[in-house]
Amino acid sequence: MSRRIARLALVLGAGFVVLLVQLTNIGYLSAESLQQHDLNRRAAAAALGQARGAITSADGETIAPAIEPDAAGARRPRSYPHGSLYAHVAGYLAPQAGASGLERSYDAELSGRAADIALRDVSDLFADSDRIGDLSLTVHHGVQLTVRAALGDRDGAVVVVHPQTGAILALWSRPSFDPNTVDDLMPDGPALLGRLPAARAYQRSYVLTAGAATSAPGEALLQRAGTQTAATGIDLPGEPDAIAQLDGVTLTPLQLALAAAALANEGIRMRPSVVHQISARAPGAGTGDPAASAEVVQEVAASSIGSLLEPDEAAGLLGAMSGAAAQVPISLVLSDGVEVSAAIAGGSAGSVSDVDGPAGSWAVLLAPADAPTVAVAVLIEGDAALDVGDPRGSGTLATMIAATAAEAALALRAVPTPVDDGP
Amino acid sequence: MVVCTTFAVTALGVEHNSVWAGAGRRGATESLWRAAGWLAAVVAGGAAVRAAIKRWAPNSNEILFGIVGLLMGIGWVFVARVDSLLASEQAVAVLLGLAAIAGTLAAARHLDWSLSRPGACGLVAAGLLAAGSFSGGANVSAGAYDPPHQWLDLGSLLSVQPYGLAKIVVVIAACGLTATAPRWLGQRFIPHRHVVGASVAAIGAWTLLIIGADLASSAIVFAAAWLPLWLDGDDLVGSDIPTVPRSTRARALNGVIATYVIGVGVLATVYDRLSAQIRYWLNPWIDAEGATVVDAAFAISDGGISGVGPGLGAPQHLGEPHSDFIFAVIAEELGIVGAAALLVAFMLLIGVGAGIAQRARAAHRLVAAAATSVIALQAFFAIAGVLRLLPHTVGALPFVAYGQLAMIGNCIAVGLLLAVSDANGRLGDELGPPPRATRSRLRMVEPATHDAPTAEPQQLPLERTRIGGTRRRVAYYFPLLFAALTGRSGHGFALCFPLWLASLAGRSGPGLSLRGQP
Repeated sequence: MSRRIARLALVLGAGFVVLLVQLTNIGYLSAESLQQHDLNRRAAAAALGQARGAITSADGETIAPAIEPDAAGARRPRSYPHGSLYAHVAGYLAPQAGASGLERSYDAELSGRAADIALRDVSDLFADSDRIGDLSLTVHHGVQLTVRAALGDRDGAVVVVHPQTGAILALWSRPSFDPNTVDDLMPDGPALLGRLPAARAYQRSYVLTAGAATSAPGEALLQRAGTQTAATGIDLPGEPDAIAQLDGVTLTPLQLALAAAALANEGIRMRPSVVHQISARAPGAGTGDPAASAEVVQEVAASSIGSLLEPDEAAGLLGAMSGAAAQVPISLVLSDGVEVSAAIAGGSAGSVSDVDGPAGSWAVLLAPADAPTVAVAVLIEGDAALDVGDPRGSGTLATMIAATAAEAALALRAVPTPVDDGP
Repeated sequence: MVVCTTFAVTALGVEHNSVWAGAGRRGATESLWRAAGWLAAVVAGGAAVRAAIKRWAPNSNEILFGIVGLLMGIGWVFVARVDSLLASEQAVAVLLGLAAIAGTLAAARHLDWSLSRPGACGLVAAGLLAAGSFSGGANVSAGAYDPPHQWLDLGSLLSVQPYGLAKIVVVIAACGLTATAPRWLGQRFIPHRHVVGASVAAIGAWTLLIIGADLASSAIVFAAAWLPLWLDGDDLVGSDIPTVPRSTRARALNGVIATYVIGVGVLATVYDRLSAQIRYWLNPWIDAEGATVVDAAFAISDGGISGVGPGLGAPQHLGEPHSDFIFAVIAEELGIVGAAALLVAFMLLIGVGAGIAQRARAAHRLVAAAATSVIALQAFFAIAGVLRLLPHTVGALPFVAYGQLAMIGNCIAVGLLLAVSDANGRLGDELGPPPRATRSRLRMVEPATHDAPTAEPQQLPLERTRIGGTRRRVAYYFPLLFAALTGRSGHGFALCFPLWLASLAGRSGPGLSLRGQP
């Protein structure tokens, strides 16, 4: 017997035990996070040519049509009829670039792999299910179009939220990109990710300061919002985990919108969501009425993500913002001629990476002022707060865009229209 | 014979499964037939080598070839599955490897001749290492991630990895150096030959690192030279040759390895090609362009516990799935269970190799231990690179990955192990009953047809029979377990049946006739 040989064999054996541990780690313990990883395009490549559910807006507009199985087995790509309009919401699914947005976060549901879609009754345990899941969103196509038109050719973001549920009515980030052609941008695969514009609305943060006209309530709102900067938990991938508050209050436009919305919801922030409900159906059922054979398997429930401020404090701040709105005379005219008042705050914004860079502006708006059902946050990059004339009054450009968005949301009845609007 | 049958049936079953799954989708029966033809050649080669082992090394350990055969079979199946064009090339590699085992056994009497000429072996090793290094020196691009290339292009017939062969020659040279005091080493250096040898090894390994920028190969070559010198610590070899005191020598050898490691660390920080590899290893997520290790992690995570099923994975997402990332392909399609079985096979190989070394005499003990270590280290570095435990450098998983010369080198190591094992057995026969109980465990008992029955079966100690049986059962049931646990979608079951039949046949076959002999 040689002890050295025994020791050598033990060391080598121990090395393989370490390999075994790491194998288990990659293959089992951290498998899920690897499968969800940004660079992972295996699922997207596998999903190509498979049946896939549709993504539809709250008012029934098709954002991404379903992929029905093809007798010829042709691998048809996913198409997005509205191009760049929903690039940061629905995302893309492409063989080279992989998947993003809802296509990634709801991949299991869309492809029908999720348990509550695949297993609808006991017999499903023994046969492969061919059902797919359709996503119905809270995003309202009309509001989204209005918001895009209002922001025009400026870079920035607009977020429209229903304060009481956290439902996102519109989510627009500019610059955007065409999800139909992401593979052409970068045929080599996921290196593309860094070159696509990030979603300004929820992936990028800005240093915010309150403006002169609305300084007192704006300051208070920002201070409160700056206390809760963890990820909001929106059902879209790519949100930053936590934002360092280095140069003052630093927020994403989404966080800004949620902070404003909390004022209308007794100080409680709701978890933002873009998906309203998920329904399962057999593919090919779309020949008749697709809704006939579909059954709703999941309805996204409103949930709180913590209290931002006390109810009376929220009411006080809302009142102060309404007062600020009075100084900047602004009123929203709905389609039936009804006018509603709004509560607003605004100021200037700077980019986090380059504080001395082009200044931007921000605005939040709640309407109607007495019992808001719409909260809007607008952020414009590279455009100093400028006053513009408008039939509705005068104010900063960001305020005007916010007013347009709120007007659209109320007029299109994307949310319950206020009834006690006074004579 | 039984091990050989098991190997054949395992390979047949897995191949049937994978080609069937793949060809079924593509409807290409032609490729199935072609693959079956090559498979038949591989299996016939395995049977022939099994016969050669019976003939030239009748007393050798019989589990060793079973493990190696299993690894080769799995490797051939997955190389052929990844790229059907490589089925023929890898079959040639397996056949060359099998020929190398048989050739090594036939030439085993020259082992002692080689051991007495470490200088010649060292020159051969240096030549091979130089060929390997300069074949990779062509594409130097500082800064960017540049995986080392070890392929020496010798035309379309053979693209070879000289490193694979060089390692085993280094082992023989180092073992010989400890065993004999060569004439070219002056009288002054003879007592210090261990440290001189280790220092030369360290300098050579650094040179390799600078030329080839290949961490794993450098470490393996260094280990191949250093380990025999360190293992000689018990003065079991060459005790008639003057040497420095044992403790001094041990300290000096430890000093050499520490110096080598520090040198590697310094090189890794100052040398662009190496530090690029290290940076990429530490954070492969940043550089999406060279995301091969990341892709391997994605593949393994897709495999999960039981795998997606043979032939059903997506190796097209991996760079070099047939060589560097064959382990990721196996882990994806057979899952953690299948990949762990592969790891266990290598651990068994280590155990068997160490067992052979423990029972060997003189320089043979060093050869056996070092040959086992070189195979194990290469497997470790290859898999650790894929699993991102170490920088991904050398890729060839011994016996499994695509590559002809590496296969030959590793098979020569197996041939040496078998030869040493056979010598142990012969020694046992000559000396009568072994002095230690451990010796008898792996000793092959001659079948009844042997001309000179040295021991009556009835007189065999009961314990020996039982332990031998256990080990053999492990060897027989290992592939069975492997097949049963791997693969979803019923593929595991398709494998189970023929393997079970094979193990049944094994029970009544000559290899297990220990208890039932007349």
